[in-house]
Amino acid sequence: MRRLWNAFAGWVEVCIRDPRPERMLNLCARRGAAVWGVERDNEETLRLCLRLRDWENIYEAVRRMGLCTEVIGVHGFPVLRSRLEARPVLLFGLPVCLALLCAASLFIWDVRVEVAGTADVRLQSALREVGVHAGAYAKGIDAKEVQNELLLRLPEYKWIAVNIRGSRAEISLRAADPGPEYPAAESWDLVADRDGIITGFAVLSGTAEVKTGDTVHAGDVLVRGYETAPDGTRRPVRADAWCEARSWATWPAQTSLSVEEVTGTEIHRGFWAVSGKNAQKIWPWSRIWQGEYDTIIKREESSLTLAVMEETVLRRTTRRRDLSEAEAEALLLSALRRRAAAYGEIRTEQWQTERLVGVFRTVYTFEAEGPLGIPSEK
Amino acid sequence: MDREKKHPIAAALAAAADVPITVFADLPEVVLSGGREIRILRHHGVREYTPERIVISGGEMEMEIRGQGLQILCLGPDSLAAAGRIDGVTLLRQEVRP
Repeated sequence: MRRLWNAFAGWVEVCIRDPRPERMLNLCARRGAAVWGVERDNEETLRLCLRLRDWENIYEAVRRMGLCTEVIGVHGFPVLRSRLEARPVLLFGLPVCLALLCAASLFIWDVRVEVAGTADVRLQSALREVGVHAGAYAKGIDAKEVQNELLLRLPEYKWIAVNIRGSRAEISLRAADPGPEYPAAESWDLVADRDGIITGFAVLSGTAEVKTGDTVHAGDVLVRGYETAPDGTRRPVRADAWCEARSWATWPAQTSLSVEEVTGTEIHRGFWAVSGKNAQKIWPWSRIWQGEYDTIIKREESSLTLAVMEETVLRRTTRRRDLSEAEAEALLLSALRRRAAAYGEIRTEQWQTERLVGVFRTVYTFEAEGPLGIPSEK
Repeated sequence: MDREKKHPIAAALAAAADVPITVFADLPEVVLSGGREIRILRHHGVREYTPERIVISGGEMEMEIRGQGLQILCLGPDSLAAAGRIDGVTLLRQEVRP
């Protein structure tokens, strides 16, 4: 702290040449001038540092004592100020730049939508209309009000969050569940989308064609798209039912026993960022730092307009690796089970494997129980 | 006691209050941090300074600091800090001063 204050107030380094240079030390002590960095170069030479103002105060006394002194150097802010006084543009440009930087931090310069692929034109337009755009005053944005306004304007999103972090507005979105796509017709039948045995059945609208325990094939009508009134007239409706069925399927699948595996080495690097963007990447033709490191794995975010950020980059390389039979089997089963999940809950499963030339083959058979039936126009 | 002769009132007050005599009298106080640094409060000036020897006036006595590479870190109106390899600190009273 004292060093900081000395730098602010300015200090001089003085060399004293005298048969008894200690006189200078005692003079400083008597006059209340703090002295530091005292070094005895030889019998008659002493070097010391003291504050600029103290030196100005004791200079006359030093001269009267007949001490031979030499100012080796003057340091600190007053020196910088006197140098800058000769360069008025720099003197005023520096605070102006700092002031501009501070002022720029009060505004939004980057609008970032977190979910990829949702930055559509309507969203951008809505954001501009509610006042979230580059150049907007950050303190003037009421995040809650903007969220509500955006939800009203964009019904395709069920959840929107606006976070103002320094000069960046981060928009987080969750798209609304579109629900099942129904035909545009006024009425339709409900048909089986696969073979199976119906284990549970309840009609919600329409006329039932099957019952619990029936076996159906893909395309069979489960519920007809009409209802019969007491007077015998038929009224078209959109058939709907809760229908659970047990289904079976046998699927063959195969994979190569040699796969390409991505590997690489990671490094950390720091870089200057302007509004959260790599200053080296402002120009579209610029490349990522060091060509061989082509993937950014992690980036430490900063909300400041100008900041030093850190990121982890990966040098991606690929290599061929031979799969063992157990690995190939696990790979295939994982993919087949994901596909079979569309049939409902898997009750039983079995598979056979065989190794051919360079490939591994599996025949997967399963029994699943789950919902059955899709709308179909008449 | 010598200090009682020189500062009878201060010595009596310090004894009554059970505090160091430096609270009431302008006597130098020395703090030696290992063998590397020494701080002296209420000094009366520097008599001599070389990298091997620093002699400091303490009013009715003088203090001699012997060592190697001695350097005065900071010198204020009533405090002094010196660093270096300190080999010895000696009090030189008026009657034995060479």
